Amino acid sequence: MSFIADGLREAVRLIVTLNRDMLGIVAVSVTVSSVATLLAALVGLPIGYAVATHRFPGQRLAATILNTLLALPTVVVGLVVYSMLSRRGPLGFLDLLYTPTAIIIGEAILAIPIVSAFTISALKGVDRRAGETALTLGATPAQAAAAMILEARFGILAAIVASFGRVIAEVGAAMMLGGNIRGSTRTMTTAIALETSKGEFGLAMALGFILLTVAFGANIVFQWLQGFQE
Amino acid sequence: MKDEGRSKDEESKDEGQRTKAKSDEESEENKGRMSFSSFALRPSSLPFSPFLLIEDLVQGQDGFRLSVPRFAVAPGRAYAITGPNGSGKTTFLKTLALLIRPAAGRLMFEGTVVTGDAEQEQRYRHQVTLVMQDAYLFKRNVFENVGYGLRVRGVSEDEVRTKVGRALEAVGLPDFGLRAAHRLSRGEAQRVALARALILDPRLLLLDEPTANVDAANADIIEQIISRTMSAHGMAVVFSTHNLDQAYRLTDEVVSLRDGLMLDAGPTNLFTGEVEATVGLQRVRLTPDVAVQVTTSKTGRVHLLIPPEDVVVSQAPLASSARNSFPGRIVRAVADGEQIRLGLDIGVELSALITRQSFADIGLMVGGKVYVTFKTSAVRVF
Repeated sequence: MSFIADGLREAVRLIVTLNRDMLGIVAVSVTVSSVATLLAALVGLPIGYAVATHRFPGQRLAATILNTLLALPTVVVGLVVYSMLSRRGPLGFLDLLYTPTAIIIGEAILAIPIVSAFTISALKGVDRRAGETALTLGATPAQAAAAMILEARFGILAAIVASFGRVIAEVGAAMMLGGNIRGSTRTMTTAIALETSKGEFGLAMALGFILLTVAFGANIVFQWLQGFQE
Repeated sequence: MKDEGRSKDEESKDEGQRTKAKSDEESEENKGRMSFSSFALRPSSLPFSPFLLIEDLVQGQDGFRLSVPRFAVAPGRAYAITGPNGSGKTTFLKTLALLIRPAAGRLMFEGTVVTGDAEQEQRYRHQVTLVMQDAYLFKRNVFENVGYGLRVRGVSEDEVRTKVGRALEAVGLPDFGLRAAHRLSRGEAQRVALARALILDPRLLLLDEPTANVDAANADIIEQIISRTMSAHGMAVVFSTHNLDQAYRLTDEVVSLRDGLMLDAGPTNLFTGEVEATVGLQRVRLTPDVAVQVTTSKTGRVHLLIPPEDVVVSQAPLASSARNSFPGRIVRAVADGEQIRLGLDIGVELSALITRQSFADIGLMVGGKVYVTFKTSAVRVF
């Protein structure tokens, strides 16, 4: 049983001394997740806006699909993107498998439905009169749309924070697409999985503690932003 | 004669279209010519030549139908739209603000048809603004709310700052710029919304029940702001209200809407005169020959309103306690739902509302001589 105590002691030491390997892993995680979240926002926000504010055939179906995709299993995303990017796959020539880019693609796919679904609910929560008021004050239809999005800004920011929280804590796609290569694609989650199976509890616990802090932090920010939206 | 007039009108409109791309000066000149030609055709419109004209407007939504045969707005004039809840006041104002597109009919602004032309609609929207009942403020601070309309017009930040400061002062909220808009009281919020509209210096200001949800003190302030800006800027105002006193206090024209139908424009049975008090008797003289008995504590110049449904019309003089009885003549009879609206000449024109049944029963007809009777207590004085 002493391995737990030893592991904890080692974890504290690594964190206090700001171990370089550990920091490198954290940096990869944060970078990959940030870029993936940014990409997801660029794609997910317009989708959410379109579904929330326009009437088109299949609109409800689109909303349902987005909500279903919230439960997308990460290993399935890993599997699909892997088969696309592997040497024999249709995008094999890009040589992206086991690179940070591959993880980013997988995680962005995971995050897009989150950004879209939360954006839809944020925009639906905006008073209809916001857009009308903008129009009566001389806004063009595009400016009125911008005014509505601004009214939903806290909800939309919350959507982005939530998807960051989801992708940074995700292990399946990161493992399958990144391959846990030290210094390149080793993220907090893949390192924890690997170090634990090797019996290196110190580093695993240290990373686990940092990951918890980041995930909780993201959630606190999320709750705070949601509070503002109301 | 009429046909000739129409072709002339159309000619000048075509010319207007052709010269659209030319300089502002030239189109100004063109406008002048157009209003000259409409003056020549319709001499009656000379004193208050309208810049906004609505014709044959029909608006239908969820089984509700609004129909406005004609509504004209002249610069510097105020119009009150009265009517019970659900009569279509808000729908009408939203249509004037182009938030709802009319199902049929046309809206002309400065001689150009606006509806259905995106460019004209945007130009029109820059001249007209609506303050909704229980106005919506953006979830930002007061300054950004009031400055919004200027910013979407691309006005420089310096100018926005100066004008917002002035606008907030004008509504009596000079130090409110940095307050969060959603923390204001209703009355304050309504004043901020008014400042946000007035800062744009619109040609036409639309107000939906501007004082409905506001406490008395704020309502007074809002009324003062409205009448002050109207006289100062020559801006036209159209507002809806339940409150007839307010309607007559603030405007020259009161239009009533019932079940989506806009009735005759112009005041119905509204008169102005001096109170003449002799012992136990108060009268207001409308013409040298016509004086109406009233009860009031007011003195000097007053407005009188005689509700058309309180006016009794009979073939013979009535033996009753009603103190106001006049001989007169029916000059007009117009069906209005189950009722008939009579135009009566008793030395002034008076309107009366009676049922179709009694119209037939007592054998009234246009041109016929009648007696017109109403009680002193039916006359509203303000």
